[in-house]
Amino acid sequence: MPRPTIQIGDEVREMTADEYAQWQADNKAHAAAAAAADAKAAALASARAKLAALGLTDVEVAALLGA
Amino acid sequence: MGANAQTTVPTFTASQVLTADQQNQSARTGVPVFATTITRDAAFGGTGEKTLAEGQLAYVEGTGLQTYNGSSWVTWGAAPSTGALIYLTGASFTTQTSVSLPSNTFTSTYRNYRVIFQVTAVTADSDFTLRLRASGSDDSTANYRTAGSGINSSASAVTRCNNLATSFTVGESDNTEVAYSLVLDVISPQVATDTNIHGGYCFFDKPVSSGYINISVSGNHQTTTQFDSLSFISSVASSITGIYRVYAYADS
Repeated sequence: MPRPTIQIGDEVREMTADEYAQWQADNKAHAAAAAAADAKAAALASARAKLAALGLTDVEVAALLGA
Repeated sequence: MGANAQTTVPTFTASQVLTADQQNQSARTGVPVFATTITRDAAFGGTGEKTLAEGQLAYVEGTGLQTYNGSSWVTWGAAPSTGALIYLTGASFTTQTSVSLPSNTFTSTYRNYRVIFQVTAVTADSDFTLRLRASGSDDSTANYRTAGSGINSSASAVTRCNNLATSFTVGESDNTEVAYSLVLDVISPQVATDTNIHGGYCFFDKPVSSGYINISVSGNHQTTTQFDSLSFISSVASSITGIYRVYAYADS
């Protein structure tokens, strides 16, 4: 299977093996970072919901969570 | 005697049959005019092209008259007035994974540059990153810091940041609504000090229902590496179609 292509100026060529390995590693790291960010956002949303269920106002929730 | 030294300044007669050498002598005595230093450098040394040697004259638009001293180009006199921005290079690209400016786009001729990337289509939802580039290779060391903050079309705050990462993070694009553009100043890429970026970009979030986002971004690459190019990289193979343009800020 051919590797993805890149364009440098007007020249288009296939990625070298090193460039392809770097690109794959970048995507893996980016996916991990995105998953961590999503998990953090989900935890924050869950915390907001639980605090609201306890009767806290939006202002009180914001004061507690800092946002 | 150097390669540019002449032994005659010929005059030809009517109906004279000229040899290739005579025509080359004539063709090479004029001062070639180039749009940029990049096109100047590309015009010598290739197949069927003259070998660059001491004494070569060239006129570069926006820079002026230059001579080659055997190791570098020397500019003579005051550069012509060209305005504040000098166009350097640009290209369109179709379903690429990564797009790099030509080698030696950033040179010691100018200190600061403006780069504009516009993505007009993506084949799938994609994340975009930017890497500085030197001598034909992207710099993937963990020396990039990105501080981006903005707002979406629903008036919610949005951030796009990283710290000691292997690239600048410069947003993303939904594949159904593509309106990504990046306008970036690149500060001192060819100086042996930090390279900074300042600018902004906008895009439709993934998913597009999250709205249209504008981010004001600054970035720092904390090394003394002298960069001559940069790369715009998509997380999805063969995904991005668009256009870029690069300008230099005039230094005087």
